[in-house]
Amino acid sequence: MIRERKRYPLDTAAKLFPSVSRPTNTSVFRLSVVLTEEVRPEALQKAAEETLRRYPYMAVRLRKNELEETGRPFAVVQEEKTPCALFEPEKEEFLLRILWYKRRISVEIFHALADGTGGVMFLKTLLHCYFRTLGCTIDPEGKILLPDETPQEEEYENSFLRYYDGTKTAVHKLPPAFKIKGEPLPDGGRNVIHGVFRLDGLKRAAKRQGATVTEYLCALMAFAIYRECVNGLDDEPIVLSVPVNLRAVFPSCTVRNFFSIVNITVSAEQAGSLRAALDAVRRELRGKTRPEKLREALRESCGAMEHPVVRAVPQFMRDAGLRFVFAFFSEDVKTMTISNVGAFDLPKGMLPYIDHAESVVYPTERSPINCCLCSAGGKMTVSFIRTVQETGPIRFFFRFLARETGEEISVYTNDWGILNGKV
Amino acid sequence: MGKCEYCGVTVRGSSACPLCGRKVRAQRSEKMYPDGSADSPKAKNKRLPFWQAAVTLSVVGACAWVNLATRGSTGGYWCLDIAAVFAYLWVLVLHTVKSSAQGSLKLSLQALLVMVMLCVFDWNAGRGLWSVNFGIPIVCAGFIFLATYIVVTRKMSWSGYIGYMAAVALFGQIPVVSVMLGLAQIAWPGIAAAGYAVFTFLVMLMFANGRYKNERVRRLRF
Repeated sequence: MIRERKRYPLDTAAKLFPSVSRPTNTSVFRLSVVLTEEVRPEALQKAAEETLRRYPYMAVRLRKNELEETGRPFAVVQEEKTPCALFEPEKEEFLLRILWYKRRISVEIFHALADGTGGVMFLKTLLHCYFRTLGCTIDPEGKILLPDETPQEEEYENSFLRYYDGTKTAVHKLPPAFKIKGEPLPDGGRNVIHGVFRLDGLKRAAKRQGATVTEYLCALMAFAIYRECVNGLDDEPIVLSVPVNLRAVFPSCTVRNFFSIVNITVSAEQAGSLRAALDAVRRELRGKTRPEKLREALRESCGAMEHPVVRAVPQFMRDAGLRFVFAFFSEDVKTMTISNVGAFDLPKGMLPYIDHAESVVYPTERSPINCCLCSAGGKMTVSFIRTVQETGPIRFFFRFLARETGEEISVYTNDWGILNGKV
Repeated sequence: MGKCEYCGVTVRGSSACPLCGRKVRAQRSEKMYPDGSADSPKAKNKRLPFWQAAVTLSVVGACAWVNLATRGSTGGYWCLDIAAVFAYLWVLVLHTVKSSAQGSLKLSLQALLVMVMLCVFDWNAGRGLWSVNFGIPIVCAGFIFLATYIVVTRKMSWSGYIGYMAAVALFGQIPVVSVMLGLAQIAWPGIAAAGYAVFTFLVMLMFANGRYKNERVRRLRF
């Protein structure tokens, strides 16, 4: 008897990604941990199989408007391509990759499958399985979805719909934002630059300014963009697009997407000094992440994506419409995405094996430099991905941060687009 | 690991700082990434518009055949109208829409082609000379207005600005030249269009933004 493959509906946010993904906008993010010792591929393969049994809703391929269990064997691979490489959802059997290289274990996930928080949950289970395969006994401390547990329906629910009250809200278009321009890197690759440093110094620097870490880093980024990219002709505001985890406001344990985007606008005048930029960022971020504002953002997303007319139109027309909406309401109104994945919150028993974590968010055509933040074991990693040769804002950001925090920042890159050391 | 004194960071896995490109004085430490390959190492072949070319040739060819077979001794060459429209569509798609050429060049080519099209229509419709008397001056005035609108509303580099200025100056002269050569029988539309062009050119020169002025002084010394 042939077992029917289980199908899972796409969540509200996931409906966007298959339509807009292409080589210049892959919609793939990466979460990694750098271990203290070299990765053992056989153990990782075993851990991956075990993890995917725990997360059957992640071992899926994309079908028309839904995800379908693949039933095919999964293989971990050694890293070869530049990070966040494109998935071809129609052809590929899985929408995630598990990669290894020397001491790094990476998970690359197509955004239709999960968001950053869901990805971290998956990665933590993978790490638990990996260390268990190697014979380490680690107390999960309730921080990990264990491989022996049964998957719950709430883990793959569409939490957008669960918390959507059916109210319609008008969608507002923000004015066009300043865009970072530059010479594209060769052959469509992506360059990543990571900066790793102790979190304590950053917390102290942020506290001195009366800000949180996210606010401080966002303000510094706006300041860096202003100093390195804006010239006299540009009068558009610098807009930082910050994904916000809705699980903090709406209790949900879904692994699927459950986030909203908050656009932080810093005018050209405010971005001219860190103090003014910080005031603007603090005001915007605190105002826009209040529960009622996030509820409104959820209504906006669901009101548009789950509208009966939108659901009724043929797929090819919906794809074209979504591409337009993405270009007009997302790409046109932002300068850069800054995604704070947050602390990986690993069990204490796992920390001695982990050096630091990394997170990388894909760049897009009009947002060619994007930034992602994460921390693990008291170390913060700021990761930049870029498709242009210019490194001005990144250089300014790290130089300023090194001076302000007093911490030693360790920087490394995948060298893509760098010829004989020439940046 | 080595220290980049300029950026104030420690560099891992590389002998040069990834932020500024300066060499760092230290032994190369563990490489953190493989030598990555691009997503699509083979450059995509540029697809030639075979189908579109076939449709154009067959439509224009069929029209020409019908036209020549039925025109008799006094009929016109209306197939040229069809050919002119197709030529315009080709330029519109391949150059105006798809190419990454400067905006002023795209706009100039559009205006030029519209003028040619009007002349062909006029010639086929009995040579009433309405194209050179009124059509070309109106197209030139419209082009100058559009160029002014673009310059006023869009940010552009100094080279783009100069491109629009040159195009305005050039297109303003076409109606006057047609009057001087005796092609146009009514002079005032051409002279009006030329006057509008001169006025626009002078305004562009006077109200140019600072960046353009700086570049002009630096490069042209005036």
